[in-house]
Amino acid sequence: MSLTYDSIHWTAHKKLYDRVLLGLVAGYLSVFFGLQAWLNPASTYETNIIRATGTLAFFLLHVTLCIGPLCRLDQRFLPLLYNRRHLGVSVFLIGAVHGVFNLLQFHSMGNTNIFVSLFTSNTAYNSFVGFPFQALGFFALVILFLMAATSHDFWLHHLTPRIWKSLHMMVYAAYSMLVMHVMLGVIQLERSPVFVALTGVGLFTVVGLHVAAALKQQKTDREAIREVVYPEVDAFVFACTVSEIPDNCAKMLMIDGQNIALFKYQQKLSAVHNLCKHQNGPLSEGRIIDGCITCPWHGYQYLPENGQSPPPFHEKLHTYDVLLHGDRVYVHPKPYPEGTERPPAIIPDNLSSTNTAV
Amino acid sequence: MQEQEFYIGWQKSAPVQVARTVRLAVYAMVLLVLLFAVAVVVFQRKFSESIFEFGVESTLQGVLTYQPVPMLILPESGRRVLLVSPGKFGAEKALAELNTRIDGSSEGLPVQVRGSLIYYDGKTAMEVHAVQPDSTPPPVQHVVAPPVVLGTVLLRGEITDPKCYLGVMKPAVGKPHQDCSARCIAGGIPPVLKVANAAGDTEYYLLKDQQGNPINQQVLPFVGSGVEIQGTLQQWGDWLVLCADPATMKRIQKQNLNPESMCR
Repeated sequence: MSLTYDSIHWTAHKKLYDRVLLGLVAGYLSVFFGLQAWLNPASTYETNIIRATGTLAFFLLHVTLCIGPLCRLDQRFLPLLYNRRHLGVSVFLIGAVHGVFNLLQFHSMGNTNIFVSLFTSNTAYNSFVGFPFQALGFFALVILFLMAATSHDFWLHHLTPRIWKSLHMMVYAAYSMLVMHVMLGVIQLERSPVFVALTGVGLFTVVGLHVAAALKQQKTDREAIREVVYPEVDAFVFACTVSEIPDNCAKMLMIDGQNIALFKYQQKLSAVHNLCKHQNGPLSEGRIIDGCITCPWHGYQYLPENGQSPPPFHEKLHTYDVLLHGDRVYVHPKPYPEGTERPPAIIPDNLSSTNTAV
Repeated sequence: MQEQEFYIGWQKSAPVQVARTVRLAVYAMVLLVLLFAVAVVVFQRKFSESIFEFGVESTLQGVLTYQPVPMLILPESGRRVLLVSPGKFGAEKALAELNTRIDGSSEGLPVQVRGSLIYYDGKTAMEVHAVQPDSTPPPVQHVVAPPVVLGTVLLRGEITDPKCYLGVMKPAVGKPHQDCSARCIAGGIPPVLKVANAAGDTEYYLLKDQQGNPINQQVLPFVGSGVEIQGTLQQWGDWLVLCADPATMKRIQKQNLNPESMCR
């Protein structure tokens, strides 16, 4: 968390993350150019740059897309998510080198503007096989640029998380266009089936991980649903027993359309809205650290009693009433305005639990 | 119950299990990245041995001709060097200044041409940087002779631009290069039909219409595709020219471009 908008709020982990990323990029380019010089000395520098950057950006885009569902499937991968935006910006920058060199190589120094040339040199827009694949790459790069340019908490805050998230979900449109860019371009030139296989494995991995994560999330969501027993419209709804929630952890609840995180901490129970104000991270998968709800995605924190980020931060969550009856916990699905103080339900000593997160 | 670790990015160190998992993921990523680089380089199509002497200037003496396209006829050997301008333009741009200087046509004029050589598979072109009348022409000069008419032929091949194909770009065929070829041909570089013959050799045919006029604009929709063309074959020195009605040009599947594709 940061109170001010630094260009990059460096931490030890971010520095390590970027060093590893830089090492991967340098390693790929070194192996590519070294092997190319050895095995294909007749190749040209321009073609080598275009191919090295194009393939590397496409590879790293796969990695970027896989991190999200990997973390949904296993939280031990969360450090990969923490600084993913640097990876995403790197994908754009490397892709931009590919795009610029393509424009210079294939469209510059001709009898028309390079962008006019890009869209008019091949006009087979009504053909699948002959479709101008470079145009697809261009539009994908525009999306990656918009994402890279807004990949900062300043834009997240000013665009609002909903719009920002929608904009960044366009990465899937960019990925689809890039798959077709590769299939209608390189794959039509190359003779080896290895390239089709590599593209297929990449696509299968990305789609497979997303489907697996979605199925897991669906199961979690299903388990979180608590029916409101009508006509008791204004009633508390049974959530779980006290012992079902490990200490300093939460249970996710879906009650009457409300996504709620019910936390147990210091012999108390409090409920807040489940989505983090930063990037809609699932707070119910977080922990109570230093008395604060801590988001698993980027470590944003909130006080459980009032849903407010501790001063000097300003983020606020909706809060909910919690009621304890015996060992049964009830939550009222009507949200209080963000940041409203609600007294936690106190767990009596005879119900004290030593459960910990599992 | 065993406590599950919880990672927070702004803390100084990651929990043990988390750190171990991420470390393994990074090792796997390093391996994948390196293997991917090797696979891309090893399995890509081989590059042609065509040469573009980029940054190296040569000077050639010979007779300038515009028939069938701007070329320099070399003394003694009589070989023809295809002339093109820098960038994606035909030679007319580079030769315009010469025509202005001599206040007339430079057809048949002995000249010295300075530029970068481009050559592959027995064909030579030059990217012209400067051209001037030759005040000391070699004693033996080949004159511009009319073509030898070889008859009517039906050819199947791929249309490309000779500047890129002979060495400026690699690869200079297929879908990735299609836009560049179109831009070069639109800029006046004469289109070439590349045809593989039964022996596995490749022959190159400059394309003109039946009256010998350029058909650059008409062939643009066919650039990079497999085409079938019927026309009259002419020989101009060591270059072949196919004079065909562009309206009869047919698009064909590239897999039909087999070694049997040239039929006289």
